[in-house]
Amino acid sequence: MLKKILMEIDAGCGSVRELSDRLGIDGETLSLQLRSLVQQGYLSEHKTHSCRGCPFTASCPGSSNSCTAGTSFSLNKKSRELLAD
Amino acid sequence: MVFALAGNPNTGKSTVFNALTGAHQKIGNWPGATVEKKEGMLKKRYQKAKKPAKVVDLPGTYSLSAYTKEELIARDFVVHTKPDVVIDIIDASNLERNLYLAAQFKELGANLVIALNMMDVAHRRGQKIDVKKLSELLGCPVVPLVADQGKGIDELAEVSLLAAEGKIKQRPISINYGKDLEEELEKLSKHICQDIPALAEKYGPRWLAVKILENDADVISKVCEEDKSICGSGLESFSKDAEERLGEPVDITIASRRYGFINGIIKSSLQKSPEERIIRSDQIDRIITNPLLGIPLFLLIMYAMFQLVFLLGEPLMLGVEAGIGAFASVLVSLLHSVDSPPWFSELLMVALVEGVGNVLIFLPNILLLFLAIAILEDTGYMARAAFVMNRAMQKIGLHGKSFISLVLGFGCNVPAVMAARTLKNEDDRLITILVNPLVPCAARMEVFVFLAAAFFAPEAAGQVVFSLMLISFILIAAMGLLFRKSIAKQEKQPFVMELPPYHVPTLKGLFMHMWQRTKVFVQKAGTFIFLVAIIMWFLASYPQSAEYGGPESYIGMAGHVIEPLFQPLGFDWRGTVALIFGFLAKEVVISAFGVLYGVADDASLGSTLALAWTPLQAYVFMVFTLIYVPCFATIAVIKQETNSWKWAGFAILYSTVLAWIAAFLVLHVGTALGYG
Ligand SMILES: Nc1nc2c(ncn2[C@@H]2O[C@H](COP(=O)(O)OP(=O)(O)O)[C@@H](O)[C@H]2O)c(=O)[nH]1
Repeated sequence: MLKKILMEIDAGCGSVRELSDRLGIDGETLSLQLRSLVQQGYLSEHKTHSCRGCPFTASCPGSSNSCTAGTSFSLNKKSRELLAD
Repeated sequence: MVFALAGNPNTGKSTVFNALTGAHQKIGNWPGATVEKKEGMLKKRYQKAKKPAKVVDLPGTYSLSAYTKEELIARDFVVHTKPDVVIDIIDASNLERNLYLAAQFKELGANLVIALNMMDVAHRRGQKIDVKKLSELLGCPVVPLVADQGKGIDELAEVSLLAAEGKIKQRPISINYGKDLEEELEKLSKHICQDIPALAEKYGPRWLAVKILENDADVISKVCEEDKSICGSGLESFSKDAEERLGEPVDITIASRRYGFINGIIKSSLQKSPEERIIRSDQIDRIITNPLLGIPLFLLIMYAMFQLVFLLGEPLMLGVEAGIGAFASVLVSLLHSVDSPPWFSELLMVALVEGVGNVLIFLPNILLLFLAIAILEDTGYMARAAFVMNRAMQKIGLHGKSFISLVLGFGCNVPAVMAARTLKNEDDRLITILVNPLVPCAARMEVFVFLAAAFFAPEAAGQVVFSLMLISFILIAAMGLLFRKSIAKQEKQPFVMELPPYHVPTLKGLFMHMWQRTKVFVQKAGTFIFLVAIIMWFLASYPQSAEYGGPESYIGMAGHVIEPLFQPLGFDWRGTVALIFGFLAKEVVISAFGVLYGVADDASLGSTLALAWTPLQAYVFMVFTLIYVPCFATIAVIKQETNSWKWAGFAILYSTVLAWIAAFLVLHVGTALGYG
């Protein structure tokens, strides 16, 4: 099941909701499984649009700490090797 | 008697620990690790007669594999110390994730009591949990709690004591890992019982077998210590065989099937009417992030935003203008009454009123722009916009992660260029950095808001700024594609993205966001822009003999030298000077206009400008401003991030050439269309 998730991710970009439609798994479950794949080292997780770590946060009009544009999950070396087999 | 408290992080473990132990706590570290260890004695009122019970707080973990120190500590404690009872604190509103750990405790053969915490949250989310059913399926007692209100703590203590005394029977559970794996597990278990009976006794043969198949480094090394002969050949072959048969790594299969088991439990014990908010979010997203509709909708929303900014901003702007006019006359009479020297009066008037004041006139528009952005951000729309753009960007060959950097660019290109660091591939990084200055930063937006309001009717101004955004998107796409073709090959980068649910923004939140940004803007106007305005005034007033801003003044001379370069674009020397100062910071372009044009007469700056420039000229000027050399700070950071003057120089050169060409085209197309 988890491998199928990886294969679907490899097939193209999308949101977790779209992926859950394609796989027929409910969205909340899927997001847990994605985290489990992250923990097992098969996916990389990135919080996007987070200004943390930037020295200009305090003075930058574009930064706002409350906003995260979501979390993206992408394949990494380990999962690509797995899918290549 | 020992109670171990386990659970995922943030499930209320500390809250329960404090409620059970009260003030008597000992805090230290787990041996050999910097992970905090907390111990305490169960409160007197729960203790029954002789045996005092100690409560040990295990590190918060999501599972019992050997991926982290915390997981190992929790696992080893349960195996070696054999606590009389393990209390697993579970977040009832997140059953699935939390049961993953609980299932592993059961597999490990722990004497488990489940504390079902956060029942209030689950209830609020419309989740009904059948506690009795859950307890039956997991084969252990389950106690519902709302720990932070102290609800259920007494019951938990009571049930845990009973369980510790063996008065509540556990039913072992066995997760079925599927026929293929079960065969393997059985064979392996036999081996284990025969070859390493001591370990089998301690951990249970099946558990060890599962861990060996999962390739658990800690277990494998323990097995090897115990019996070297089993280690070398035998163990790995089991995992390899299974992997070949399954066609995927065994740890993935095992995790999948464990989730399958948990899913089964959840199906029969949890009644979910999913949260209204999430359902609605999903429905909205079906439209907003639709692959076909996403981009048109994004453009429509941007268009509406700019329209709103100018239409609502117009009356407010007139108010501020009147205010600044009043301030100017007060200043004049004040300076007059204290007999200040004429040069000083002039300097103050030019710098404060013409320079800074002209920036402030547009404050209402800018405030509205920031408000609109804050609304889009706080509702969660910006996340969708980023997602939609990201998908489009991947199509044109930009790395999926570049968009983080590009989105930041709408605020300021400096941190945006730095954010490109998250890209590991050098080529991807370089492309992202080079394209970045084309993203119209907040400062440039301010210049556009100013010029559009000065030159165009409020109804048209929104369209003007919107069209500039379009130009910038097209250029980002075109240059991205070009750089991709000429600098580097694209690597496929698929991803999925999880978007936070939409929510109705709070007034306070909106105000805070708007205020933060406005504060920065005003600060800059009061300091940096003020300073530059003074410098410009000086350059425009001297040498002494020169007429203010005339061709003999320093600024006039410089402007005239460079003017020929921009003549084909139709800029006069004042526009040229404004552009040059814009290199320091784009906002300066506004005050440059103020200083250079504003002094001429008492009419408002807008009307003076409207006489000097045609709308088409203004538009060409805006196009040039949009694209040409990013500001000084951005260039510096490009140099820093690419570690080469070559690329910094290239960024200056290519953007200026591009700006010139684009402006030239716009001028001629516009003239041909009869806008001249
Ligand atoms: N709504 C709700 N919040 C709780 C409950 N139990 C604990 N919390 C809150 O959840 C947060 C995390 O609790 P904490 O004990 O620090 O969790 P730990 O990380 O597992 O130790 C704190 O803000 C608690 O006040 C509960 O039953 N319901």
